[in-house]
Amino acid sequence: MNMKEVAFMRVPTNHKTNKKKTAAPGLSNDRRLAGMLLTPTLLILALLTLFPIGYTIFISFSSFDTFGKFTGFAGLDNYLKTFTSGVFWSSIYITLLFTALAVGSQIFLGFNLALIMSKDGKAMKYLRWLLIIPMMLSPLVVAIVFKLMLNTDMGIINYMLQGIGLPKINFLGEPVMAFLSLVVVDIWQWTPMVFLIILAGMQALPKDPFEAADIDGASKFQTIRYVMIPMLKPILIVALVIRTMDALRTFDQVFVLTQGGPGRATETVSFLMYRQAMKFSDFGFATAGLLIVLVITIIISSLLIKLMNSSQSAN
Amino acid sequence: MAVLTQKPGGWRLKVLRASFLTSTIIFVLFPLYWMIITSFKTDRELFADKQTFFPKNFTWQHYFDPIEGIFSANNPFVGFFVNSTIVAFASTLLCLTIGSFSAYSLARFKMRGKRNERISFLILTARMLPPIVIVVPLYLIMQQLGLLNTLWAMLIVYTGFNLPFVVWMLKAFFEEIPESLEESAMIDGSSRFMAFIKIVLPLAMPGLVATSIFTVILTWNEFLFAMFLLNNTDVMTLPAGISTFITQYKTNWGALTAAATMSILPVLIFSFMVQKHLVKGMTMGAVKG
Amino acid sequence: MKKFLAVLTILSLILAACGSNDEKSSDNDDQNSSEEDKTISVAMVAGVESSAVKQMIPEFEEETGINVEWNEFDYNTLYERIYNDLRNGGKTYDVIFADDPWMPMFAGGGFLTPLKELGYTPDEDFVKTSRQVSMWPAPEGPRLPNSDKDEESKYYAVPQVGNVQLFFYRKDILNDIPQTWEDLEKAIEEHQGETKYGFVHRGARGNPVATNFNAFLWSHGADFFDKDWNVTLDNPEAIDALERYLNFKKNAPEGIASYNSDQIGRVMAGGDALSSIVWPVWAQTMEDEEKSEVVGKMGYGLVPKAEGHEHAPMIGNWLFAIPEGSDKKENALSFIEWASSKDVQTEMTKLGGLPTRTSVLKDEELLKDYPYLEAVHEGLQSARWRPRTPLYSEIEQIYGTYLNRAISGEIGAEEALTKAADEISKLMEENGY
Repeated sequence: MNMKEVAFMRVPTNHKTNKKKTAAPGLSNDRRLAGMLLTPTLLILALLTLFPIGYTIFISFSSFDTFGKFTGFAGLDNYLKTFTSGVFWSSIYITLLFTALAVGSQIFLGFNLALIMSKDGKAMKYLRWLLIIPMMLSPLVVAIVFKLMLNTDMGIINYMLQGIGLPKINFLGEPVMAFLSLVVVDIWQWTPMVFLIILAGMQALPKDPFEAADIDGASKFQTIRYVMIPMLKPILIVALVIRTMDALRTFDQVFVLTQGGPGRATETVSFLMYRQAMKFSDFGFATAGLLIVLVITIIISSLLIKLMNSSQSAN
Repeated sequence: MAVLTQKPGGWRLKVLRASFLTSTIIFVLFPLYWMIITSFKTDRELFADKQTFFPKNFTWQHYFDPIEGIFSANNPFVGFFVNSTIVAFASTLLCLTIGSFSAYSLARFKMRGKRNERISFLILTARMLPPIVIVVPLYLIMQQLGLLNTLWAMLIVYTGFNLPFVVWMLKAFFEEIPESLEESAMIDGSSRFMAFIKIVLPLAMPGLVATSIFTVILTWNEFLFAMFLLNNTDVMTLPAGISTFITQYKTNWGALTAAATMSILPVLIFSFMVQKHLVKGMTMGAVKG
Repeated sequence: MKKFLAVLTILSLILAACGSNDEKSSDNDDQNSSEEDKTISVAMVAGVESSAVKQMIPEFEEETGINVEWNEFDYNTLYERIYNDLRNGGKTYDVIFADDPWMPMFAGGGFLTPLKELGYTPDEDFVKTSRQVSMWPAPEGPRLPNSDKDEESKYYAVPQVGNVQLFFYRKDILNDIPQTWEDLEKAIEEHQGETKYGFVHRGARGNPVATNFNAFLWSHGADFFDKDWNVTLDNPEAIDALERYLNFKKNAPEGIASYNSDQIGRVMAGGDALSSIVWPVWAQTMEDEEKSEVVGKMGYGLVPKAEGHEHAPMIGNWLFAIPEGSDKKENALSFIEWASSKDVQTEMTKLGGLPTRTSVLKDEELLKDYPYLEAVHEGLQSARWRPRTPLYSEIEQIYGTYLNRAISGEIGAEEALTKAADEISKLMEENGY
């Protein structure tokens, strides 16, 4: 750490001489400095991502015995097994459905909340802080608390439902409810983040178009629909990208709340592959599946980012 | 910037808005409230058929009981807390140092063709990786480096995985700062690098603060890597450590909620102190990013 | 600027401080290894099994001069932590605490030290079934394909926790313990209304429902495999067993499809249920005034059987073993010998643990305060173990998934077991069985 700092401190002296040769403070001539400044980041990321990905690719073409010992190369076997595995596709479906439901609700709720909360004022500030608490908590802790509350017989939620004369709900033991419970937990935890992003975006909007709309006698709804949303589009997409990338790899909540059950109703890809690798030492299947997922994630994200870039430049 | 609230809304709208807001606040706060009061209930009350919304017999036993409490000498909780603190602050510092250099480079130096964009995207790709993909190879790397079961491993991993986020956030902040300020400093004989240190960094202070808040929180909360790379009780961080409290036969909900409460307390206090930076940070970082 | 530098300096000081902390600890490690390391690292499961021994460790450290580094993990991750480490050389832990179904993977994979190598054999005071699950290959049942069929069974572990399924019932309501499932059905009919529920299932997906149903499966004369690893889960006996299991649902709580031992323990301690299959560690809770409504009212005994068959509760022992990669095997063995000694097991029992030594299980003094020990001893005599194959956790996952679907009402008994059998057959075939 300290050595790195020292290395950087030396950079300027080298460049002082450079600078004086180029009369104007030419910004494009600092290629060397630019490279040096970028190198540490790229190095760390390479160590932590390129090597592991390479290793994962290697594993995905290897075969292992039941004790998890390497026994040779498997060619495309692992991929074939993954592609023809019903379990794999069902986990993909579950992950995508989960992401769509959770992120969709978060954007909707976050937008409405931001509309209401965009007022200024001291009280609003504290209220905002209260509302964003969930996103600052560890997903693991959040899952533990919800596990306690959603317990069918001892949980407070069923206790309250019964208090107002409703029947108990088997939150984590029934496939559809367990899936929805996970979605609700995700909404609870991450709507605040979407809210915060959109709120920041709204506060940065120029005032003129709204005044113009006002003069033209547009209704409030019309103003939101035709003035605000188009201008906010890049922000909405940012929120969408960030949340989608995270939701696609949901693990912690599944680990604590349902362990993938009941049946396979909440088995997300991350959880399925974790279990295949860690519990069943089926490394080939797990890594092949994960690489497929990685490709899917990158495709979805880069499509969303393209969308973002084009909508930004359109603005 | 209340762009939409200048108009007088009807009372119906006001009622609707107030009730939406109230129910949201209850929805948000109730789980926290429930976690906190559960940690103050006696075991008997916790397991009782009739649930109580406030502890009947308020007890500190889950915190300070000499045998069962999380602060007792034989409970590893305090160690988890210390480890998390060390890792969170150290990796944030490292991340910010490295990240600010790279962000500056991406924000200011135009490279040939679309290389800037490409490198930015490449950096972001690292954030898309599901951690589960790389955790097994990381285990091997750390083992080779002799860093398995040490906080150093976590420091490296968290620095790496927070970097993309830090670079993107800071890049946006640096782009906000007019380049002419550095240019005038450089005309006065300052080097490019010193101009960055002396002029740009102080101006970007709110951004640095906001970014570090997010980095600290992300690190504080991370579970998956810690679960795999830390296999000794004395080096565990909070989420990984707390998860070991979930026992096979009986879950001690009292101690578990007490530990959970203590683990979120610093985050709550910290975020309250710097809350104005949170919204500002988002305005600059995420929105412009 | 000054401010920034100041902040940077302070932060780097913090970093340096935490760096030197780490260095200090690694220095310690170095020193230890240079002066013939006296520290052993133990991986335990969190819970009473662990806390009882943990409290007595200072005595051991004083006696032997060996330091014990104590690591406690939740059941969910203990297996993968140990397995990950074993597979990559097994240097992290010197003593591991393993659930008995992990033996085929750990011992069969050659990851553990045969105790004979260290000149140790568990004595006959340990209950026989507990000793049998500590051996590899298993003394009975089919052996792994491509393995030497005449290989002698060797000890790879020492049994420490004599866990076995028990039947908990309200002795204040039932005069006698039901011997058969038929008796239990009748008893539930007769005493309807005296408790909220008749029988409580442990129905959560995977391991919970699988272990819970095993007691039914075996006590109906059914099993997973025949002598040649052919799946027999779709036999009529097995389907009968599941139908009976599901039949008890009419008198069970609503949420059983997500019940784990936690919920069962609480329902039982709250006095809401007539009977259930429960791990014996819960007996202490039942007799604890602070936590229970049924102190003195709970009976503990053998899990019932189907008429005409044998009692067959499932064994779930915890065993101590030494990884092959450990370089402190002698010290590790000293620790295991100490922890499994009569004295320590007696103390452990007093703190809520379950012994594996006959002399402790039958100790008159202990029996006065811990009446369930007799049932544990009796249960261990007739206990059955899970199939000895490293694939068991995967089998359990398939089986536990279909059982869970059956208990949540999605599919019927026959469909559940037929599908499970098909999937398990496919799995076995793929792996050369």
